[in-house]
Amino acid sequence: MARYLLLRLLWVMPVALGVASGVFFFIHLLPGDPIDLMLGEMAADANRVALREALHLDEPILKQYGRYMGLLIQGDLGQSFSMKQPVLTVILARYPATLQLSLAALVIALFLAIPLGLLAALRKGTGTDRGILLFSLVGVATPNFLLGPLLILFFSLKMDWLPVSGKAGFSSLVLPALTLGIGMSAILVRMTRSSVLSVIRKEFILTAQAKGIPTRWIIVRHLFRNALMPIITLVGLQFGALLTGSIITETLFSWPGLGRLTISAILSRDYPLVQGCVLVIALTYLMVSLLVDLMYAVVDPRVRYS
Amino acid sequence: MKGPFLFSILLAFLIGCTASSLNNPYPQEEAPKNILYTSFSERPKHLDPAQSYSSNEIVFTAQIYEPPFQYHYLKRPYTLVPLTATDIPTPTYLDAQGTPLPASAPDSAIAFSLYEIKITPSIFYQPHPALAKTSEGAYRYHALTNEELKSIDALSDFKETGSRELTADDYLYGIKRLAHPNIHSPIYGFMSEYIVGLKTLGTRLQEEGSKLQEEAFLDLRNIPLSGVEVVDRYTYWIKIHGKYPPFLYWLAMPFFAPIPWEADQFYSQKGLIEKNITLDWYPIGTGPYMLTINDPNRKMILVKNPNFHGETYPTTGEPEDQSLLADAGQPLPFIDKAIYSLEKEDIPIWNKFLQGYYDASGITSDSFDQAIRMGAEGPDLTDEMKAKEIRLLTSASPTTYYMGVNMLDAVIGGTSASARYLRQAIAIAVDQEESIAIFNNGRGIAMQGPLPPGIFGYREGEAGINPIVYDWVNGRPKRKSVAEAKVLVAKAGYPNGREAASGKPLILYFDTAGSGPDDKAGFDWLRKQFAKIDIQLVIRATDYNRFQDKMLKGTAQLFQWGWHADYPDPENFFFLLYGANAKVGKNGENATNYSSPEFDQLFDQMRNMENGPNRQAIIDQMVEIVRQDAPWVSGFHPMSFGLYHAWYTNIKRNDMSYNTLKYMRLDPALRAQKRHQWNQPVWWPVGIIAAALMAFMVPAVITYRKKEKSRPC
Repeated sequence: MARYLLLRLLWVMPVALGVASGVFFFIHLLPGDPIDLMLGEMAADANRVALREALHLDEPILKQYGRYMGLLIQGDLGQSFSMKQPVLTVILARYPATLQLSLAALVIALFLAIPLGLLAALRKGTGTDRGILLFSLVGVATPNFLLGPLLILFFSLKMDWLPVSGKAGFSSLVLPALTLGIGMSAILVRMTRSSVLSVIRKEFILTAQAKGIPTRWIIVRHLFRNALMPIITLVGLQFGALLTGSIITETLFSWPGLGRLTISAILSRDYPLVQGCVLVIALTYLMVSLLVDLMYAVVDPRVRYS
Repeated sequence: MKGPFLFSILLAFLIGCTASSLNNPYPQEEAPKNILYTSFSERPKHLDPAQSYSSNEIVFTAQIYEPPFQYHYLKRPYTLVPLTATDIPTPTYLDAQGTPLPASAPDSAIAFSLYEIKITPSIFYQPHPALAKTSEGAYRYHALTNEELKSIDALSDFKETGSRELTADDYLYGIKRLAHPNIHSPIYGFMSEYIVGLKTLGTRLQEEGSKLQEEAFLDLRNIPLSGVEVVDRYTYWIKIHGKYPPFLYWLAMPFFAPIPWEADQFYSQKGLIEKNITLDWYPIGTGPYMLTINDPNRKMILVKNPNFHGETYPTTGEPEDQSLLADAGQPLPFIDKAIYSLEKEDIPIWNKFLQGYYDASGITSDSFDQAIRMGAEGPDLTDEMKAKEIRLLTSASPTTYYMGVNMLDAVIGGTSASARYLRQAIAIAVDQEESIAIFNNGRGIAMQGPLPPGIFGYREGEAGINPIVYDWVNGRPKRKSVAEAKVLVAKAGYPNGREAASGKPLILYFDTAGSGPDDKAGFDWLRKQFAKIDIQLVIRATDYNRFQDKMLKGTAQLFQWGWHADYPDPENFFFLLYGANAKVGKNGENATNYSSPEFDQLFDQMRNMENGPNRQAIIDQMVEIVRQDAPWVSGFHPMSFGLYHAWYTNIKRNDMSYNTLKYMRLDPALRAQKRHQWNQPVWWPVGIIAAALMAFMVPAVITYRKKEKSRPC
């Protein structure tokens, strides 16, 4: 297990370097000059030249790449053009907000998806099943930029229960977390349902029933546990997406997280910050993926890594 | 039965919370406080007054920094009044030898203009660590050790602050900073053509590059600027080349705000720069407010400056300003704190405004119909807004958006009669009124000439219409018919939109950097306008850089452009058509590359004149030339609409001045009352959900228990 873990962690390095290299060249291909955006149209040419030199943007691209990779290997993500702070500091300041939102969304998604998925599977073909599948279909088909305003309209404007936007305490977390969580639960419901259905006809379930084990124990200990593997995989992937892909939701609800930071970095052509954000996103995915793999072993004793 | 029980507890808890509104996004203890809540959609890039130029930046810097002059809050047309200065100076004109000339001297004889500015004594800077001193009189934080830096992450981490009196030296220091090569002031290039010695200073500072590492402090006090001199502690003069009356307007902008040298030295410490504690992030000024929190990805907070000098609310205004003079003579500012929250989307801003959590709001297209009813009498509030006692204030913005023609283009540009007829025909065909109605919810005034309303020289009514495009019918301008436009197209040599000689269809190209879905609707509309006169319009969309490149090289044909006044003078609009300012070859602001010797000559005459009948007469001639030549074929001046809650008062729209926060007043008690009234939580859905849950849970639990009991052991 330890060897497997070490190998996986070692793999992170080349992947991270590959991502960093890809992002570096892609971001430099984007149209738009950071100097123009920083100094404005009226800036004197001498000032443009001076700033370009100061930021090393006048150097050949390969030299810039070498400089960037040299710093990266030392753990230095560089200095943000727009924030004028170390990229790592800027990202670390935003990351907790994204983590908080993602975890809240995950809790909501699991709270909705697992019982509904189980119920749909146990009541397969009934009105309950169809109702849950309809919820899932609507949930998957409703984009966040529509669901978010609808939730604002209902919970904040009509019912006056929750704040429209901002980050001020628990109540302001509810709407963005619901927006993300409902979408995620819609996918998870389907996965839970199909996964449970694939296990429900197995012989060990029939055996457990024949032994007179209470239904709830059969569901929890035998049925659900064996159906959990694909659900964990999907939860892992979805959680990674939540951590990194909640840009629209963060923007709509003025949530100061990593997604919004990435967008503003792209718009201001803040190369070091974009590179840093994407690298952190990639590392997050890798870590979540590793965590999912490790959870397989916890859930299923037959899985062993060596 | 635990579920319903817990739900009941939760419900009771929520109901218990209703004393305060549940949807309040702010801490409850802030409710009775005199705090303004507003938003910003784009983070400011610069707060250094030498660098900051964008409107989203000046919103903050104008409350903090104080240049010598400002615009009168209430008077129209916009009038300069002293801010830190004691009065508005009259320039002394000098010849090349420095001999004073009479005010009536011809422009050609004036080599220099000298402005002597006296500032008011006893103005103090906001409390700031850069000015903190030890008991021995040394600056407390000008040589920070690594140990001290460890506990510093923001400006507020400094325990001690200090202040000192504003002096004329600080203004000189601020002007010198415009030439600092590490600051990259956007107006350096422009101002170095005017302020005597600024270019030399810039060159010298460039040459001293080795001393100008980003981290190093270059004490600008030791480097002279020949065009600015301190006469005494409270007096300094500025010498500029030639005669340039709008220079006074520049002195009302934060570029000419004072900077204490101590701040420059304090912020040049490497350890602070590394933590982004710089003048660009933490301003220091004498103004009514100081920036205490700068988190531009979340919120920025301005707090009343305890050292603010005794400026008072204006005692005079326009005849219609009587309701705005209740606070005449009262000390400023009225609001204790202003919290600006970053909101990227319009929906939350609008909804929070309706709930009373923002004190004012603009009106987006999405919310326009909810807020405004357009009638024959003009815009009016809807009943929903009136019920909330919301006020609507409108003003014509000193801005012109226009469709320009590249006058270097072989087909539609140039001074030939054919090309002129073509441009005039397009000017008639493009129905600007329709465009304003469709794309701007009626918020705009169709362009009659380059000058927007509110700028000297703009004429109202029949005298102000463009006779090429409009007739005056029943007391209002009426656009000429498409048939008349077609006649002009035929006269241009394109009967029915085809070249008379070859029969080829006339195809024109509209160059743009816009390619989004919103732009597409506009382009479709524009194509239809050209089709009315049988001209095919092709949209050439490209990315921003290539579009700029086309403009610089003069390869664009038709394009959309705009200009917002820097200062309220017609020169600031006519210079956009001055031949020497052409975009091609000179990289100037004349985007159409229009060149008319007659216009240029009149411009040279008009630019330095005082406002009056003589200047008006020249302006009339210039406007007429532009109408005939039509380098700007079509355009409009936008109207600004703002909504304000009843508790937010003393507001007069001002599109020229940004330091207006100090005049505004809040009634927090009324706000708290209205917020409570408008945000009463609705509980009936909770009751229905609870009842439904109970109805579902109770039989389910009973059935389950029965089933479990009936199970054989």
